Amino acid sequence: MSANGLSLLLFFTFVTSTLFITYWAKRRTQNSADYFAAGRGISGWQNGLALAGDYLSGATLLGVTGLIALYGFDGFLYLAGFLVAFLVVLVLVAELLRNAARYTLADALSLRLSERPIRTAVATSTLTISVCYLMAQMVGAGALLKLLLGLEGPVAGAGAIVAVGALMILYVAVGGMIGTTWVQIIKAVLLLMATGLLTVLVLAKAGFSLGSLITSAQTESGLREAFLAPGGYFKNPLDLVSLSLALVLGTAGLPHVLMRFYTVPNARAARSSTTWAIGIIGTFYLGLCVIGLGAAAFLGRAAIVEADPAGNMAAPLLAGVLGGGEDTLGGALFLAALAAVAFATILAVVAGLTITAATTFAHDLYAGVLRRGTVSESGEVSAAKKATLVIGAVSVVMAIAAQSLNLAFLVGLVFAIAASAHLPVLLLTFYWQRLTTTGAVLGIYTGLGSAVGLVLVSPTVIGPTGLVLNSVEPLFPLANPGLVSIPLGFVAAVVGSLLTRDSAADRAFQPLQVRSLTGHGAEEAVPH
Amino acid sequence: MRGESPQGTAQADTGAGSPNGREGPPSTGSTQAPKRAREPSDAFSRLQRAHRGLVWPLSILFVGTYLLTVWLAAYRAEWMAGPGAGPLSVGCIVVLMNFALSFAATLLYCAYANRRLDPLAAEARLFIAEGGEPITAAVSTGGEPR
Repeated sequence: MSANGLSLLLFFTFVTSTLFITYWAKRRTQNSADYFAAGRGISGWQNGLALAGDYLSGATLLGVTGLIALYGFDGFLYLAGFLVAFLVVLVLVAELLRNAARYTLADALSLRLSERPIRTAVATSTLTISVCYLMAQMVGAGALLKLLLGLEGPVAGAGAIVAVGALMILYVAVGGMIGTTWVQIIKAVLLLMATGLLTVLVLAKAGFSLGSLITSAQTESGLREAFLAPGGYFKNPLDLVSLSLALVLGTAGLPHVLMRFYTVPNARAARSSTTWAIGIIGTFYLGLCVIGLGAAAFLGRAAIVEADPAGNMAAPLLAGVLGGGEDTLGGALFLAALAAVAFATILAVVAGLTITAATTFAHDLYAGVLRRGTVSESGEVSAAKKATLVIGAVSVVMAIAAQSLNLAFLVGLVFAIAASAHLPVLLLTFYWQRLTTTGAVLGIYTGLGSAVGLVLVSPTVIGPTGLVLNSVEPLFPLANPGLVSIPLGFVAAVVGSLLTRDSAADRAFQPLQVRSLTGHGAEEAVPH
Repeated sequence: MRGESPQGTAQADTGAGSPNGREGPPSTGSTQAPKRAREPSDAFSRLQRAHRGLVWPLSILFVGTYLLTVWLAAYRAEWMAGPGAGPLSVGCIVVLMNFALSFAATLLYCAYANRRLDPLAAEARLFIAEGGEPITAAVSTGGEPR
């Protein structure tokens, strides 16, 4: 049996088992808290795995392995940023948000701020983040499945995108948050097993000597000493600073990450789940460093670039070599297994993004803003299911239309939007009494607008290296807008607050402090 | 472990964080706090101080360390490329220190939260459950509720 056939077989095994879980989750979903927040009954370690499953994308598994294999040090630095970002979540956000929110970020903010403007603003930025991230993931999924299965042409890409879209709609519309959570948990376990096995095999092949592994990676990458020096991938220093700032501050504002904290019974569980997630993600990243070194050492630069210039095939090819090499059953099996894990990885991430977007649409925009809280609980759930269909369909169509473009920059943009539009207002709501509704709304729209606006005139979108208008010069020099848009978001929220008065927001500050720090008045877990 | 906090939204709304904001202390009648003769507990304000005293310095430490690492990689690349320990460059050591610091900060935060913050939070909740007002003189009055 060929590697592609094996890959398909493993895909189908994964898909079948997740569909069983979806059906099981549907039977356990009895009310809106079950559908949107898994009844707040997910335990600490379960949520830790689900957080890792939600956060670690296919781009991390395949893209960063390639980045390390081809450029060495810059890949390590990139991973450290993703890990430190989770500490911001743990220390500043997770527990307070668990105690304050019900189903969405806007729930927490509207405890202090005027409900309709703040829900509208947060929903706008949340939906922008979700759609951009979905596009990036789905276009990536199409390209990836073509690579992994050795297919050619736009039809194969479109087929892969439609398959991913259909499954993600099923998971979310039928299984709700319970189904999504367990898909993410299974994916995290598969991902950890795969990377753990590969890490051990790489180390074994290098005789358990990190020194000799690094030396051969330096030689085979063709970079020698430069392999462990900065600047292999990130050529522009200011670009590196801007992207790093967006990464380290953005995670704590990503709505699909924050949404996981509404599924645990209390703040202690939120804390322990973040601790689990940091342990899992950190260990995974260290393993990924070893795998990247292994890919450089055992495959060599030429083979990696030949399979895919961006290095996305480094991990699967390495798996094939470690399994016994080309044309052996072990090699085919390993390559197929890694392809299936990558597929599972993508599915779990897009499911998390979709349920976040659908919840925001149903809970914030439809029930909160349009119908002013007159919608029944079951009405909210059915609105979310319809929104899932619409969001899924729209992102499939957009991803198919954009599948020939390189949309990797959208991931950096998403982190920049989260850091510029969400993090300032989130922190100020919890830590600054003087925040007003006007300031918060201004901060969100300024952060969102400047992040998106600057990317549109950046070298990634226009100019010689961009997607369109190749003859003009980009108006903004950096690929990532974070360095400008994050300070702008903070300044707009602070200045807007200082220029206005909001006695209700002022009065609600201390009660929110009490609720978020002690858990008094927080949402309880649903008894089953 | 929030079992000791009172159930029911009526209590919760008067106690904390109602979306409608609050008007004045609960002695105006919305809770049935019978007598305010109890000594005001300062558990909540101690909790607030203990929380802020840890989370901000810790956040500045690890975000600062990472941004310093990035700055060194961007603007002191030749130094970062220099030999560190064994086959590793200085840069690799600095990045590994970021990993180590992340794990250490996680453990430190959890230990502090479990030992110091959780008991204070429990004490403050108990005080509120017995009808106490956790915030002393911090709530301004007047104005339209949302």
